[in-house]
Amino acid sequence: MSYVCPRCGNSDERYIGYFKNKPYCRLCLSFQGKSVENDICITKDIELTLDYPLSEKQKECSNNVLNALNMNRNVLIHAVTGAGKTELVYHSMHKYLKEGKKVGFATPRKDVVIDLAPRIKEAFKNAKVVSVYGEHSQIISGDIIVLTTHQLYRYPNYFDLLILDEIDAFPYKGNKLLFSFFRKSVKGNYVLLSATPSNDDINKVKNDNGIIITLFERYHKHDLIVPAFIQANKYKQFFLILRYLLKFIKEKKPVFIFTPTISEGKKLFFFLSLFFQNGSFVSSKEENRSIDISRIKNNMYDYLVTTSILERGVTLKNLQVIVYNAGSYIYSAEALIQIAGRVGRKIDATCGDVYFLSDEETPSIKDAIKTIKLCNLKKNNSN
Amino acid sequence: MDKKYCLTCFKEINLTPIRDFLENNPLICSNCLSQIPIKLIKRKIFNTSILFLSEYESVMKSYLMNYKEYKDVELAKVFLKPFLNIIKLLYKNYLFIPCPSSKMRVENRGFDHLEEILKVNKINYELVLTKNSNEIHKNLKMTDRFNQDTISIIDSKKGSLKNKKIVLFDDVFTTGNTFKQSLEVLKKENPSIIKGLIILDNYKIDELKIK
Repeated sequence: MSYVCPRCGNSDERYIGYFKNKPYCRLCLSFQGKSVENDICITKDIELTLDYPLSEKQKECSNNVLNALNMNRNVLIHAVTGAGKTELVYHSMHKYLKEGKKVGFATPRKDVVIDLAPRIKEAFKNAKVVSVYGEHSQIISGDIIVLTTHQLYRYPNYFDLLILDEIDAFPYKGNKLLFSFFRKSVKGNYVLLSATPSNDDINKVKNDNGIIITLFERYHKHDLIVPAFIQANKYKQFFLILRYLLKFIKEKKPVFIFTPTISEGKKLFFFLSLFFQNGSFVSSKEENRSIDISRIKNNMYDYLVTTSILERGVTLKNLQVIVYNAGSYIYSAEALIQIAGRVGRKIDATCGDVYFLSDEETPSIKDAIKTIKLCNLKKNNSN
Repeated sequence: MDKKYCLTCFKEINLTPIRDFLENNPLICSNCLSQIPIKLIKRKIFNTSILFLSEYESVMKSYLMNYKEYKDVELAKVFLKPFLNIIKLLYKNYLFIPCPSSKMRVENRGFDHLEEILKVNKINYELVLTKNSNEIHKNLKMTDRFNQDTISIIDSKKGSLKNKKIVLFDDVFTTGNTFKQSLEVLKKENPSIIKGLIILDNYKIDELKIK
């Protein structure tokens, strides 16, 4: 009796509509467009070139991943921010590509796709790397496909190896539709990457013939930067941000100032722009945010006021972070860990400052700081 | 009682006592209902009084997109939902005539979108007009839209509209070209009165003046 959607597997009655007494699924209707054709990989003898050699810990993890995949098992890599998660899977990707198998790299965020595709192209110089996301889906077949989770519906039962980065990021987290697209697109095995997996994620992978690989050391072997919590009311926070910003601008370091909501961000940016002209405000609503991001990368801007849209993926040298109103309910502990993980990622700039400004120390802030300290402890104990 | 879910946001509908008392079939939740702009403006265009119900640049645009492009037929019930009582009052003894879509588009879609809206709302309508164009006019330039003259009346319905009160019905009014042509065809049939009813107002007055 009950109808199950052949595309997304939905059987919840509230999403099922009827047209001329025939049921149809309303949940995945907007995911329409061309699907990939089952083509053969064109490029052979794909070379892997790494700019930096893997660290010992990374090598160990990388081999573990490869062994697990050889045993036909799925993997969840739990590694701290800045550990070089992407690089950990390069050897596995290389092995699959050499065998002419299909490899995909998916992430929930469009900005991460834009940032990641050139990096992967850099590593696999003679491979055809295609990035697929909304408004950018003309070419959908290649050797390595870098895509958003929203585009996975184009690849039913396609990937021999699918890497899914940032599994705890919006909008993928908790979205059954995207999860079913993910499951339907994997033909072989998958590797999940996360800095902050929930226990639920870990159990799910364990139950699905998977193993967990952990890495608590950053690539450059320095500790994670522990955020400083500063208690201040909102007016004082404005003042403090001005002071820190002045300091960072004098040191010529780029700054991200995170705000919980768009309206707060606009307010804060208006205030800051009275004092410092070289900045901008980015949010999911700003269409040309990629221009702003590339400007701060080229040192044309001193600071960006941003919503949590930049909490992942974007890597800048010498970046400093201030979180305005970190006590907001919008910030989970995971989000705060991700934000703190923006800092000190480059090998020639391993330190920096993270400030959490809030009028009270919420459980999320406490959790985030505790977890970061714990990761540092685990790393130092294992050495 | 069965749980009811909102047609547009899929959340469970919790009705306020007033809505619960007044409506048998709530269809959408109060939050989604409040986002539909209620415009209700009468304009005199082409010598005809046309009633505009709602605004094009709003949630309705995306509903229309889902309805027409992604064939989400269930949404047909949503468009007239806040206006149904007014429509039934204003046009009590009128015959509704939807503006025609080209046959190819109807075949591609599997249904005539305007007919479907009238059908699910149990409004007295008749398909009188037909459009003989294979081109999709959304892709044409503004000037090309004016140059097409393809709307005609179905042969079997000729003469049936004499001395009748009719409402010409369309979803979006942008240049008014389809509407104008339909109007001219209908006027030849000598109905006693013609009025216009448009769901979404996208009327570009300035552009028309340039022409």
